[in-house]
Amino acid sequence: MNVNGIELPFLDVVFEDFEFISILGERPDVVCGCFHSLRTGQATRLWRDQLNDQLPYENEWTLVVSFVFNAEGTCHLSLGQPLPKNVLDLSHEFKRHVNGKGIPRKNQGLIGALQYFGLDTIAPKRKDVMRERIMKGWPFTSEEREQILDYCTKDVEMLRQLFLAMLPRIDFPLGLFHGEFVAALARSEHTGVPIDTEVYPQLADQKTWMEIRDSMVPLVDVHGVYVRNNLGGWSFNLACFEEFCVAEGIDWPRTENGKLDLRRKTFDSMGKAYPEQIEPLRQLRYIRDKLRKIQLSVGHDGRNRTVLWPFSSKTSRTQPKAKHWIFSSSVWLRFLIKPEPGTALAYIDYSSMEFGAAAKLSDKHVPFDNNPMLNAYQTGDPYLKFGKTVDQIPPDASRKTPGVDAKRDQLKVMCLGTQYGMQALTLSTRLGVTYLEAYEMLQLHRGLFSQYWHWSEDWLQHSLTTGMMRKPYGWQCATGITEFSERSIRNWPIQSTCADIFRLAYVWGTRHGLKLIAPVHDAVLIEAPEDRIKADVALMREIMRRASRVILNETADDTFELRTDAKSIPDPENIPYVDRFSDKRGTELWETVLKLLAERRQQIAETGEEKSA
Amino acid sequence: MADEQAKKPDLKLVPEEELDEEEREFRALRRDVPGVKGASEVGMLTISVGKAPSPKNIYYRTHKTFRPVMALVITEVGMDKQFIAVMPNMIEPLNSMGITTADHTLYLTVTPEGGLRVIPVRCPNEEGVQNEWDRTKEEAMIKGIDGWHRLYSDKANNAYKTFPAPAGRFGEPNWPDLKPARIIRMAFKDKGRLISDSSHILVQKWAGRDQENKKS
Repeated sequence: MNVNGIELPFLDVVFEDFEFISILGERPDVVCGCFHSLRTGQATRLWRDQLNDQLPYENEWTLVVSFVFNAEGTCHLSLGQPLPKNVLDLSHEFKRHVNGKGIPRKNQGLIGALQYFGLDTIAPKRKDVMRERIMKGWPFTSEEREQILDYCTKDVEMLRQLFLAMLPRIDFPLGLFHGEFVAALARSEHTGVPIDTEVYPQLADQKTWMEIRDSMVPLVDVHGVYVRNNLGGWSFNLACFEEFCVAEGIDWPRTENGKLDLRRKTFDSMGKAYPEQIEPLRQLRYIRDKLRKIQLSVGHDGRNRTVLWPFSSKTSRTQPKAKHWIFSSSVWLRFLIKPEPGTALAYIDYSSMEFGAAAKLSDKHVPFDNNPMLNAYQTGDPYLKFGKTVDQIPPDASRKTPGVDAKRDQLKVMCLGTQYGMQALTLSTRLGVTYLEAYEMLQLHRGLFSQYWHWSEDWLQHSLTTGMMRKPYGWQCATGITEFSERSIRNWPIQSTCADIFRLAYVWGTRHGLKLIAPVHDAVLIEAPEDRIKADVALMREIMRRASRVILNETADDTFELRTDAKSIPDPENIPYVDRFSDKRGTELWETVLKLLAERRQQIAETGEEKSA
Repeated sequence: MADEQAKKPDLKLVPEEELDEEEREFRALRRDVPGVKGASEVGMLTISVGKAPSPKNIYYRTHKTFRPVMALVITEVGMDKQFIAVMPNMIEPLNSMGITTADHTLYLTVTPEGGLRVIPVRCPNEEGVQNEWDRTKEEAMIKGIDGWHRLYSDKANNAYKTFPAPAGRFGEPNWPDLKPARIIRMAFKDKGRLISDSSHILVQKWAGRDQENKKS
């Protein structure tokens, strides 16, 4: 098909848009759909009762154009329809085009994109009014039905105009690949993550949660930093906290006024530096300050669903809405993930992905064969290897040696932070070491991994000189308009490379019918019947290995690839047996919460009434 | 479950040939852009000259083959010493003005972070006598050819000492792809520190002509 002089390998281009009622955690309740064929010029308007489980167009040779296809994709799936085969999502094509050019996120929607290209749009207020009415839900009067269909048709018409304006800027093979990824995410959104339907409703109950929040204070805060206030509640006491820091020998950072710096990011850093003393307190503080409600979006079928927002960050990473997404909230909440009977889950992640990607990207940047960073990755544990090289870990130690695992975690923070330009002061806070020690470690990193630093320096200069950062799989970001930060520019190529690898693995796995239910930064959660999980894990790991090979090596002759780790849930080989997702960082809190819930249930059973908060 | 690279995964469900085919398909999507070259591409490389690797106490490596001998004049500028290279045709005219030159072996060093520096070491005189500082510095430079070392000035014994870096601490050095003549040019000529004829500002100064020029 020839469109404005550009030959497309399709027989038709169809612009589609659905209107639907969105309820947190549930699949979309489709109201209507509009489809405009570029070949015939005809628009098809279908109300809910006219939509069935068949696509209203031919699938094999049709290019389906949409804006934020994950919404359209979940609508197709809710209707029982197959997903379109060839998808082009103009939303991320537009994001890619304006990435780093200072266009605010709120102006990156359909109307913003049309305005950017100087095209006519409907008034944003009109759009808001229509969306508001649709969200109120059924029933709709015949007049409202007509208005909604008109509104949906107008959206499709705007989509057509946007497509024609963007056509010369689109790289179709890559656009289709990205569209396939969005479709794969729509499938995950549709499926959702299984949540423990016994425990979650208790935590979601506001009254129960408030009681648990209060009851956990004396159990977690063994040092007495929280004290009872006049109202009977718990308050963080600065004087007690200062005393605790002195007693533990912790040099807590201070503000310019000399007061203790109690910002969240300081607690994050110090939690990593002092995992035993500060980390439980940090988690408790987060729960008390931020987690006033547990509002994961869980549907009636006990599955956590939220919009996964592909290509959301400037590095093209997927960013689901944090408060609704099980993997974005506190780590102990992940224990709520529990496979349904007869099924199993597996969590597969790339090991040391950012380190490995950085090592490979900088490899052979200067004409020399020896690359200590790559060698460190290939030892299996680059952070342990680095620790041994810089005398922070004894040469014969392993992760099982007492104290080594914690030190290795600190070095991981150091290696990743340093890669993006972390300075000695921040590092000393994070690691709980002196400024001089931190400075020395940074110097050692720069010395040992000098090849990486040459490359990183060149990347920075090159990006600022050319005004653009690009990756081989199409993602790009302008520099020099809003993007000036040295750290951010150094970080960009590594993050966007990892995002490319992850996208490829996700698309590839979906093609082979694997049930990928959640993207988690560098990891993926898959679901399968118990008797098939092992085979699915093996296939997914093979795909992830190959995906890293494709993205990281310019030619097929190069064979560098990233390793993966996998954890099955339940894992019959694991002792003690666990029937749910687990993460050592949240074990203590999860157990405390479970204990408190059990006590509360027992009390209700005994007294027949709930105790007052 | 730890990663087990050695074990081949069980791929009975999907034949490996199919995955190979898909790998080729995905690889064909690549849009490789020209390599990333920033500072190095635009020639922002600099080579300094000094009496020791800089900053103090940093580890260094010495270039294996770069070892020219040049006549140098050492001038004091404030607290710093400056090394001025002198072409053979200018040695005699400078001597006639009372400016003495001395032959130095030039060693090229690099720090782990990629800092390049030419370290001149005074050669033995005609009788074969060499100052102890110079002799030990030369030893230190030669040691740096095979491994990373740190230079330490042992003032009690009027000599340099070296300390090797722990094994594996640093990777192999990254040397720039430059010919010796280009190194000399960058270290001396581009900085105005190569005397090749009498029009050089220092020659004019030593001859007292710079004042004359100002007056005229």
